[in-house]
Amino acid sequence: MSGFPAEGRLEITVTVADGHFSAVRVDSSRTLALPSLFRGRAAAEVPALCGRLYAVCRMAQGLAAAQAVERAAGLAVAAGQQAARRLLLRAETVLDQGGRALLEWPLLLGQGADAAACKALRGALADLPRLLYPDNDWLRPGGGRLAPDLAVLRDRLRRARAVVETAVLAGQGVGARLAAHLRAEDMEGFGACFLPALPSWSDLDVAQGLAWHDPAFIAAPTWRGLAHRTGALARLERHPALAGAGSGLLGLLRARLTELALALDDLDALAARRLEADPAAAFTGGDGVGIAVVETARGRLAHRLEMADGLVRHYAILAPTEWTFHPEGALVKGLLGAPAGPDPMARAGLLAALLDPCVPYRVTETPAMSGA
Amino acid sequence: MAIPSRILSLENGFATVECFGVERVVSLMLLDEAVAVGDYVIVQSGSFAMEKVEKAAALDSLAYLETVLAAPGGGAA
Repeated sequence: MSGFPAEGRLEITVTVADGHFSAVRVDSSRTLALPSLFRGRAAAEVPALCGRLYAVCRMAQGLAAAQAVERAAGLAVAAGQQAARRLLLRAETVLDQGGRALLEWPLLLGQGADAAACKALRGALADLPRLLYPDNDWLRPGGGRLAPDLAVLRDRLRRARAVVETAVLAGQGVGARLAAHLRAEDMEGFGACFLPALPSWSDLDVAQGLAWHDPAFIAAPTWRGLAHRTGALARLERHPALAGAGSGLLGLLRARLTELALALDDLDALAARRLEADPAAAFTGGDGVGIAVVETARGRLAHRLEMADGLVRHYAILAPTEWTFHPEGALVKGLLGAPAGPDPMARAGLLAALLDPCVPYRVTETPAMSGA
Repeated sequence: MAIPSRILSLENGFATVECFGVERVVSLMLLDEAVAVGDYVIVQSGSFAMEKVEKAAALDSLAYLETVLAAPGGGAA
């Protein structure tokens, strides 16, 4: 998957020796310095800025920023606003994971992208923030004017479910076709490795357990000194649908499909809850530190704001791609020692695709050094 | 990142777009609204234009991103 140099890319370099992956290196040019430019800006502007500057997980980025600002300011957010935000996060999971399945998984099978289905899915969900918040102020700290048209919302969710169930989850959907391909190629267990799932974090954990001011940590994070797994497989590793699937390609695929189905159910449940106009809290600035942790389609996303007199003194974002593509993370550990097969770059690319980085990636192979 | 790309030309449902001096061809299949040469779009998933962006917002984002990329170590942390 190629991209503009400016948006960053993962360069995955593999080496094969004796038919197995003997070395794997991931070089990231992701623009992780983006939050440093928030310094000195009004903290209240950051959520909207995040929603505009991030293309992938833009709702999650924006809402995490809003929550960080609210926590720094000690601002309580009404229950209706919180429910609306959970709905947006789950909708983005369906939009993002469904979109990837429709556009990218067919390419892994040598087929064309299902752009028509993806367009229908986007038509159902992409403008949900504006549907819930007609003034488009959904990223205002404290919450915007929440006034959804519930009949339209439920119709949108029905449309999204129809697309995902038909084109992705059904017996002839792209998920089943990809699973059949993995089975036919004897690749179901490829990429499996032991990597602990990120545990739940307490407020104290995120305040003290993460090196928020260290750029090297933000680029290659660890939890208690170890790399961890995040994302659908980490969240669902004990779910019955994943029993026996392992942590290789089949496990990753099944976790993403299960997550999609669960997110659709969550959306229906959230849309049935009270989402009426709820008074928004007023942001008044001040001093403080606010940390927000949200689960996105790709895994755990955390924002931390240090605010002084309503302005950003320091801002940091810890994103899931840095956990998954860590030098000791799921991609590297999954490849090292695994059989390289007749097309090592394709195999490595398949694992990268199902681990799902938030930026384009490229796989290249370098020859093994000859022995002494 | 949501990097706005400027449309240089249009042909049969595809557009040649430019961003920070790099050109590429992208599909317009996922766009709901019509676009014209000079408009700005956000490209995702390799080669699909996902949404049209108003010019003022696009220029504002590009100026911001230019600052980030020009900063020491801005390309990668």
